[in-house]
Amino acid sequence: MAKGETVVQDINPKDPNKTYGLMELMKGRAPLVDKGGPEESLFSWPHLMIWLTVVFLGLLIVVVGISWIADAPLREPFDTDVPENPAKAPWYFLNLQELLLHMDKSLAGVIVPSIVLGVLMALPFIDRNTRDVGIWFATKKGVQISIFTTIYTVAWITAGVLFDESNIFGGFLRLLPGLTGLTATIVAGWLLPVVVMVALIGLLMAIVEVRWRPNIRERAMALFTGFAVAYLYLIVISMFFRGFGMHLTWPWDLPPKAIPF
Amino acid sequence: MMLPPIPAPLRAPLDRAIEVNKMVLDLVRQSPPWKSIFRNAYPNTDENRALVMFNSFFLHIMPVKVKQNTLKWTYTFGLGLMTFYLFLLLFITGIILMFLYVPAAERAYQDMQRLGTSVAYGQLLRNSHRWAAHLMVLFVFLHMCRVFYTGGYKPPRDFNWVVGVLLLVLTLLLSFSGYILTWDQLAASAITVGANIGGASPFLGGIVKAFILGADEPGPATLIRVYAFHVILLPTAVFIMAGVHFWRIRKDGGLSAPATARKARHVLVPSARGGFTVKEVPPVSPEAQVPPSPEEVRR
Repeated sequence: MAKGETVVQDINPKDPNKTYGLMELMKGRAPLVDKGGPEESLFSWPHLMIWLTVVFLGLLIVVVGISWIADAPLREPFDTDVPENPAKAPWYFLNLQELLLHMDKSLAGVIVPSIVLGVLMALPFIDRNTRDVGIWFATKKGVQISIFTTIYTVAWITAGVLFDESNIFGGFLRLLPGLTGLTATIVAGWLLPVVVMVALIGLLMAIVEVRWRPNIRERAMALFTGFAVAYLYLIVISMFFRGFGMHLTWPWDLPPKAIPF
Repeated sequence: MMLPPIPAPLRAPLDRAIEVNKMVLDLVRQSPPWKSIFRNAYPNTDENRALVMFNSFFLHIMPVKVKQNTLKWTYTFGLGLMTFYLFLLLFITGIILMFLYVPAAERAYQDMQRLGTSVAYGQLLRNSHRWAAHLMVLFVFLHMCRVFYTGGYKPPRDFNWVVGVLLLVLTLLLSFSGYILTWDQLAASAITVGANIGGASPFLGGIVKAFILGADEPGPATLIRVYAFHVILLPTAVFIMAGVHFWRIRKDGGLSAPATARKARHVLVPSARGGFTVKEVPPVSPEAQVPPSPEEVRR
């Protein structure tokens, strides 16, 4: 029993005059306790319905409000013969566009995203432990691991992008000046990026493993946080720090129309 | 709620107005057409609160009762709900935009301009569609993060997480295809980057690129193709998958929630004298709810 318990009352004391008594107590719960039974649930009407309505109206006001203030962009007519500079994808694909600058395009544009989606879909079949379901970040360790992973991911991506600069394959090749042609393409476009990505993820998991001794959920949290932060941070870099020819620049030096909105 | 007292001269007419109002409402609610549509009385009793959910086509996907935790604002932030609402807004504004837009390379751009110049509320309509689309992508992503960090992906909700990832992909494709339809230079940049990425697929590059572009280069064939994806193929897929997603929420026991209510409880324990004692167990911290695993004991 946990500490701090208090005896409230003694029930069913042994009585020699009784011919009956409580025989046994089974450990277990009533079927509905803690399962959203009558005591822990509310009628959808009106408790849920009122929120469904309020959220809808609120959202409608926000969307119409934004639309009233800001016009959707419409640039010059479509002409692929005169490409924009920089030519940027919509913001949610800018992370892929940033990756394209650092490795072979089929690795950046197809293989890495496919692996990420595959791991995301496989996640619930790897982590099947249900002990902390329903609790934000599960444990204190979960919060610490998520914060650490955020800092780790931002730091390494910043370092990597600055090192590789905006020259496709250029940064890595500076390490190995003797390489040219197909060898250079394979080494700089495939080998080095894969090694770097695997090593960074491996190092993250190793640090988390040693520092926090995580359970499977907390390991998943390190991986997912790494993905989510990388997804967003690469968008930020590509949107606000890439100018003419997708070269690195400061947000205040961006050429006009460099932000795809 | 505290209301100021009603001035005496207003009281009689106000009472009369309330009475008339009630009479009219009763008249409507007793009428055969009303009763043919709504088969239960106004849901102000528990029975009718249950019936209203059962009897309505639109409400019956929702349960009669929901967990308190589900209604906790800081648990869900309403992100999935807002994503669905944004999809509805996009569906409605999108249909109206279809009246006003022809997906032909020689006039698509002019139609976009016309929305801003010669269609009543055309610019507002287009703005709403555009910004709602961006918000939907954002909210899908945030919703995924919410589900992840609260552990909502775990069994029995594992399959629904997979459906959710597919819905994320569909949302990105929907937003991307819509982005092309403006047929301006933003669209040109996007389709160029998109086709390059698609064309870089190992082994299937050529097929994927041809499937996206409908030609060797982005052009008229691309526009009509992307339009068909945007207005029929992808929305239909989203409707079906979202239907499965919502249905699975019900089948998987509603939204995820903490397994143990965090409040004091009473248990019976055998006492030394042969009887039983009622003991109050204080609220426990989430970490202490489940016995530690052997792995943790070793530490």
